[in-house]
Amino acid sequence: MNNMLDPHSTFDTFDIGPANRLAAAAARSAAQAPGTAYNPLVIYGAKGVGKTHLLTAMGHLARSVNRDIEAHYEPVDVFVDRLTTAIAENGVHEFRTALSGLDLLILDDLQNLSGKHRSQQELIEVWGRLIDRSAQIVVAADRPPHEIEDLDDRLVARLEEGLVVDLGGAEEAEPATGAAESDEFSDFLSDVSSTVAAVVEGAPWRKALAQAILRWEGEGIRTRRLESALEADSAPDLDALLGGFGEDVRRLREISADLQAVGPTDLDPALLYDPDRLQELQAILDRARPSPAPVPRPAPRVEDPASSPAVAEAGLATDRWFFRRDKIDWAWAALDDRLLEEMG
Amino acid sequence: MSLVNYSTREITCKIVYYGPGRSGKTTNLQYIHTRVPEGRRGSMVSLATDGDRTLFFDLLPLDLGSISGFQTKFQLYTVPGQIYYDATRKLVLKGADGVVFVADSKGNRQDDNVESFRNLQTNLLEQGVDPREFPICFQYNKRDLPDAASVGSMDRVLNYRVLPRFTGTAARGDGVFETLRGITELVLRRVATRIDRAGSAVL
Repeated sequence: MNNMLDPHSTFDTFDIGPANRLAAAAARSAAQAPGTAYNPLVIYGAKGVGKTHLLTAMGHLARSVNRDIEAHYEPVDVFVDRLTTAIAENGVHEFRTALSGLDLLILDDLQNLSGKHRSQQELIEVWGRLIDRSAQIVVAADRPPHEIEDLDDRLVARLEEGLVVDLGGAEEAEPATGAAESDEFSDFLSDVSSTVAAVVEGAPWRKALAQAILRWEGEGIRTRRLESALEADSAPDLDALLGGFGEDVRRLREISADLQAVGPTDLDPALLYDPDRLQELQAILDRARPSPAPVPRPAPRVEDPASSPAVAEAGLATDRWFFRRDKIDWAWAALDDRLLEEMG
Repeated sequence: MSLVNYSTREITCKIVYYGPGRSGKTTNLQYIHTRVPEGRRGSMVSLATDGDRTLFFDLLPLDLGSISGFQTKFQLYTVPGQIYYDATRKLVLKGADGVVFVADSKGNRQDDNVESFRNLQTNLLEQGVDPREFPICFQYNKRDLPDAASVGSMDRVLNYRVLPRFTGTAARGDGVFETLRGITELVLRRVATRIDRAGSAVL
């Protein structure tokens, strides 16, 4: 057996798909019990589909089944070279005898025998002896035997006496190395996908928050407040956060409707979609109103700073709603964000 | 760097291959580059010295596509292993989510491994990162060398914290994806643990 064969090219590393299943099964069968079925076995297919891998795998398998088997693999070019040397050295008889004594002969790249009539003649000679001894012959080529130009008809007939099988196109059955490549990456991707799924779906509050963001964004509302909460390491009070945000959006829409009612204003349209800038929008509405009608007062709240004497004394109570504790908090938060954005 | 960005629905993972010079960091990236389909990876940026050693860093961007609705991207970096490139190492290490420490198995390079690993820990600490909490895994590379140090002896001098450890021969691809899978798992699981801990206090 040729010792230069790639030890990694085995049936275990051969990627089997629909296109090459038949060829692989036949090759395995012939290697396990040489000379009993599919003899000769001719495997053809385009360059790169894995013919050499399959031939090599057959050699390894045959040797593993029977350590004493006389098996030999060689590309046709080597066969031609050896024959040429044998002719030059007057050793054709020895050449034939050595080949005829094999239990398994594997020839690769048969198409390279095209036009080499002396070599074809020798192969036909040896062929008969091998078949007579029930030795297995396996041949690979890039096309079916009858499509190989300038090949002796007797040889073509012998080649087609057994099983001639297509190994499939390159797009259907990758060579073993290509299969290993894609397998490595596919396995990696599969593992990463499982882990990512566990990570991103592992915290229900994040999922709920992300869904809320998507929903509000779909309605054109700016969701910076929710996004900040989503990025935090710890879970917020989700009900309070989403409830407060929803309430602000509702108020945003009320003010927008009021602004439309009072007529056109010099307004940044982004304000109409940003709950974090509610105060600004309210101030614009107050200014846009034609008469100094009192601003609608929200329901009194406990510890409302606007009702404190200090605030009243300072003349800041014109917009009592502005001084609601929760709104003051949000206003400052929004201001921080805007400053950070502008500084940038 | 935000590892998981829920707003933009992106996961960006920066993994740095660290280790002494000529331990096989670039070889790891080169192998990955050859095995990832073209549409899933960017060009590998490699800045090498005249002596074919990494001068600044190698960068291999991987786009794993959409996973659970998140666009998942990996950035694989190497650092120059030579001692005199410490400033570059610090720069590349900044913002890393995890480190693969590629150790050279060659028998006479164990001191270099130890020195480089100490350097890694020093540089992490300088950036305010606690190496004990940071995702690190080992790859004992060049296991095919006839004079390779035993895995046990390398464990004793390097892996005293019993971190995930892989053996391989990056030049042949052995252990390369196993290592990448290992560090990815470590990085992402750390995020999951942090989220769980934070979430369980409230939920």
